[in-house]
Amino acid sequence: MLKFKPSSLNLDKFRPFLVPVLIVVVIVLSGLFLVKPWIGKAFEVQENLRKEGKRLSQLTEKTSALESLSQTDLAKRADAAAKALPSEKDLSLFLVTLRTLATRNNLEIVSLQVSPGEIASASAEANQEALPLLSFQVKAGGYMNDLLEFLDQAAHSAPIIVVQGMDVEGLDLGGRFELSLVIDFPFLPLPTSLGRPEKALPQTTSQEEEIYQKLAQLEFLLGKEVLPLVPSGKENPFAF
Amino acid sequence: MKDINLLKVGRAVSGKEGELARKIKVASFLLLIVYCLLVAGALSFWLILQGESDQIVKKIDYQEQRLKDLEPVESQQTFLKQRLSSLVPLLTEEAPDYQAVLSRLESFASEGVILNQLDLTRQGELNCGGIAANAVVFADFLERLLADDELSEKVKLSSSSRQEDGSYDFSLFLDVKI
Repeated sequence: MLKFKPSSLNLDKFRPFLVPVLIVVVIVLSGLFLVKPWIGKAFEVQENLRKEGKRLSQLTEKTSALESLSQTDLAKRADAAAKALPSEKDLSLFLVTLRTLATRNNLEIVSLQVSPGEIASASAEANQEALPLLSFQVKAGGYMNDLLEFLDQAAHSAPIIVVQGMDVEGLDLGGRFELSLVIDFPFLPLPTSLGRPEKALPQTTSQEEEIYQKLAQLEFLLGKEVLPLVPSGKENPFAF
Repeated sequence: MKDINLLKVGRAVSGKEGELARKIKVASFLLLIVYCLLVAGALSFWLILQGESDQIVKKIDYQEQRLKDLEPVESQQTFLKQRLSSLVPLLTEEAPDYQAVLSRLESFASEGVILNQLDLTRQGELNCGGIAANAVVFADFLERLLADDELSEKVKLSSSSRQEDGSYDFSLFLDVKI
């Protein structure tokens, strides 16, 4: 039978290694269970810091860009754009514009056909490829000079008028005649959101600046303001 | 009663074994010191990061508040951009200048040629019909039309027929450029 003899187990020779072993054990255990997760968190904080720093620079850049804009000039530009391209399928606006143009140029509107469909189109999704249009088929009577004036004024009026085509029957260049015109009024629903705060402020390109110069010269036939853009606190900042 | 001798050394350590034990002890303490320094460094690093993070969060809050105040300006700029970019294709596409086309045709048709039908599309396709008083006037009209490169490079006589009185009914197709 195996007999345990305490006197034969001499632990004294390990005593000098006790402290070093304890130190190593403490280092390993604290390293594994305390320091390692803690360092992981520190790296997470560093990563977040990098992201937040980037976000801060985007926000600062956007704020500076917004502050550099002249609010008066911007309001004027937005007003011109709103007059040129209404946000709704505004049948009455388009009809009055047509009538005003025709009356000014002594054209007599004989008939007018329009299929407006759903009138409340402010919430309609805008097609990315082409602007939504409200199309009118107009029959008008008048003289050639009046027609030419009408076309000239239509090209320089707001809201924008797109003459898709004309059909003249019984054309007598010296006398009165009737013509059919296909006239489109483009419109564009308001944007629905501003997007994320850090999203860069959309800048107008040189080509768009040229377009604005054209819009600025258009004559708004009804002579009323159409853009009460005010801070509303609503979900859609463009709604008023 | 048993005496306790605190000075007692259980076993005299000497020679190589003692030297090794001493070195291990020193090394372990050095290791502990290095470890503590590393932990202190990491702690400082973490504290600095935390401080920076707090500062950035405050700055972000401030910028967001400023952006909120500037929201009307941003909405106007976004609105303007949307309008202008949408109008680029429409206002830069090539469309016939109706006025110029009609004026040009009017000038051609003033000499013995009457245009009584005209169909012009935005794509620049012009179908027109008319009456020419006689063959000479009709030929002259066609020659002038063909010679006018500014109005159209492509002129197609779709049909023509001579009437009993010597006049000509005709219809033309032009691919209008202006």
